[in-house]
Amino acid sequence: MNTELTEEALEIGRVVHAALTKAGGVDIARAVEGGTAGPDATDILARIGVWELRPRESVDDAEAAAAVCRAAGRVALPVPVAERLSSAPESGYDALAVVGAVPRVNLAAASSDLRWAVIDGAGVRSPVTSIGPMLNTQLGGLVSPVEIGAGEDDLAALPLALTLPCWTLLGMMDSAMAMTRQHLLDRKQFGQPLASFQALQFRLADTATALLGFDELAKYTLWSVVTGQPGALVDAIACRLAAIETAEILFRTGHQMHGAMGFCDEVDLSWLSRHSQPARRLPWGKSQTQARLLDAMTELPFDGLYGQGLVGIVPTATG
Amino acid sequence: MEDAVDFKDSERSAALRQDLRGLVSDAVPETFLGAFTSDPKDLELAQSFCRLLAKKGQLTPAWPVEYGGSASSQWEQTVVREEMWAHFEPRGAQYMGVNWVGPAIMRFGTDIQKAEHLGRIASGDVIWCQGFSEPESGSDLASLRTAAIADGGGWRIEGQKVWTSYATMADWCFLLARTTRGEKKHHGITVFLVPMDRPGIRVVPIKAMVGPHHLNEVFFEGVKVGPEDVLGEVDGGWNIVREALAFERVGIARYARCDRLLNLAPSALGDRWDGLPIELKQRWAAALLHVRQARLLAYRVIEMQETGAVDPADAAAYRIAATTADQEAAEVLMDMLEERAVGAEKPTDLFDRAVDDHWRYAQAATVASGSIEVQRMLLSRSLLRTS
Repeated sequence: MNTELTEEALEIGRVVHAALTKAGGVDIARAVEGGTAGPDATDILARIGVWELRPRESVDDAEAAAAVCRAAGRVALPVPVAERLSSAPESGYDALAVVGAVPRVNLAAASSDLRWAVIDGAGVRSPVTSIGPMLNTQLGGLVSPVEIGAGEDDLAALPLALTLPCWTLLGMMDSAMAMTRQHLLDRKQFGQPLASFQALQFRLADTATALLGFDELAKYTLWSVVTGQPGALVDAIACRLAAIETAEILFRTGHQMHGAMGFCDEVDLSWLSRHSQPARRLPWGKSQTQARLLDAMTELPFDGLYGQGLVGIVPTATG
Repeated sequence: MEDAVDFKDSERSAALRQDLRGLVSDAVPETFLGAFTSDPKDLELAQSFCRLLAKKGQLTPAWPVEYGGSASSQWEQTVVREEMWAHFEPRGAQYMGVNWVGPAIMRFGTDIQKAEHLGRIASGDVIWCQGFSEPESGSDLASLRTAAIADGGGWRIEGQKVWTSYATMADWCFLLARTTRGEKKHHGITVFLVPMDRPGIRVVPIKAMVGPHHLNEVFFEGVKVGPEDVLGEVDGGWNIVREALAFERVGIARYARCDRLLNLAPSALGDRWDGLPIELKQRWAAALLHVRQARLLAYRVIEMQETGAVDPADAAAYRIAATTADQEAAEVLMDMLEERAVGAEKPTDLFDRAVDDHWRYAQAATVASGSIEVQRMLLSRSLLRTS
């Protein structure tokens, strides 16, 4: 048993975080959404060697990729990091996104020079033949509709393509948690810091517990996926469900604790909250993910200490 | 290059798990739902099962060899905890001695106390109870009032404990009493190791929904104790309690029983499973997911135990997740029983009875061994610490 990523993986995560923070942090997203020239984050990551990682081929690279996605998430980086790291350039695509029935892809237009592919929940991978304009909405500003060509089965690519975006969301939640904690310490009401009110302390404790639980699950899922456990796909769907549940708790708490200030674009929480939406709603929201989890459990094992969910049910004497 | 993440049991842990399952299957009847029932045979079974475990070196695997253990890792002790709790704790009350009374005596006891107690705990021969909570001191344990009044060369204990599990069957009590009244309530508390047959101790069982033997009042009426009964320093008991409870941080593997019952549900319900609302099946899947997360949080703390110190806040986060997952699983399982949730149709409906038992115990999960509110306090204080 080893529940920690390697130090090498953690180190590349720290290096990426430091580089992105130095380049402006969430201001990179502000620049992209505002249409102004910002730092070239893709190039920053290239110089660190991020695009040389091959998570589908190496467990060590997969851990590093997860740490990089987390670091990118911490600043809501408007670069398709998880999508690029889920790809297989030798198979003809540089970025892979999981899509629902109506294919919409976050950050596709912002990186339209890449050879994009999409994969659906059944594992059918299709090339993107054209990328539509960005939606320019509050919650999906950098999302584009895409048109796709004929697909082929590539179920093996699906678990990692579902898992890495969960790590990006994890990074966004890390930042939301840190900001919320700091706000509780800084903001005074009724003559004392918000941190002194027990109702808020308890809510923070429950929120932190949710985040820690998701953090551990993300590592478990990564292990399951990159080591090719029989239940890798069902684990990845479960991880997505947990990511959605946890993000709901984190951002709800973050907004509630920040009050009106948290909705203002001068505050990073507002950006993280909005930019977390595509990952939480696409390819499937909470209910659809729940339904897919149960469906997947009828065919694949969800390994526990005492069984595999709906697979391999054996009548027992206790029954 | 360091090892990558790996969530598989080690070979030793896997072998131990298999061994324990075989042992449970051979020695524990399918009808067993814990040692604390109205049938004295259940307690007898637990006692003999403990001795069997001890003989195989599986009661205290992580203890040092000199005290009756086999110096295994915390991971193996975890396997024991998981397998036992999943199967309705056939060790009975022994987990308390194994998990924290023994380690506290190893850490703070005199050589005589170690010789007297550790071997007996490791061999499964002795049941301990903890004399902590009082009528006016629950979560605020340090406000306890049971007094140790100086008397000759020792003390006379006067006071009352409450909610004391296993007091009717315990041989020894890990008792907290106040030896000095000072300005600070944490000062002046002393730990006494007291045999339950000492004159002046009176146990009164309390009937409760968790079942017999779990809740008791214990009255101390002029109980004489001497310096040889003191664990650690006089007036220094609070530090021992804090450390003792640290041993207990991942004490009960609640997630293991949830995992087992949730996984049993589809086959145990048979045709009824197919007729359940889809929404309930989705709640079942979510409960399995949350139980997995609780287990992983336990492993996070165990890895910390293996490699260094555990922050109480990390243990608190595990406890919050594990106890709430326990209650979530209990509600889902009860819902799945439909009308049988209020009573099994036949005594042979073992799954229904197991779910009933689990639900009743789960109600205490967020109260026992430090309420969830105390865990939230511990965690939030750590999160909001500025230095």
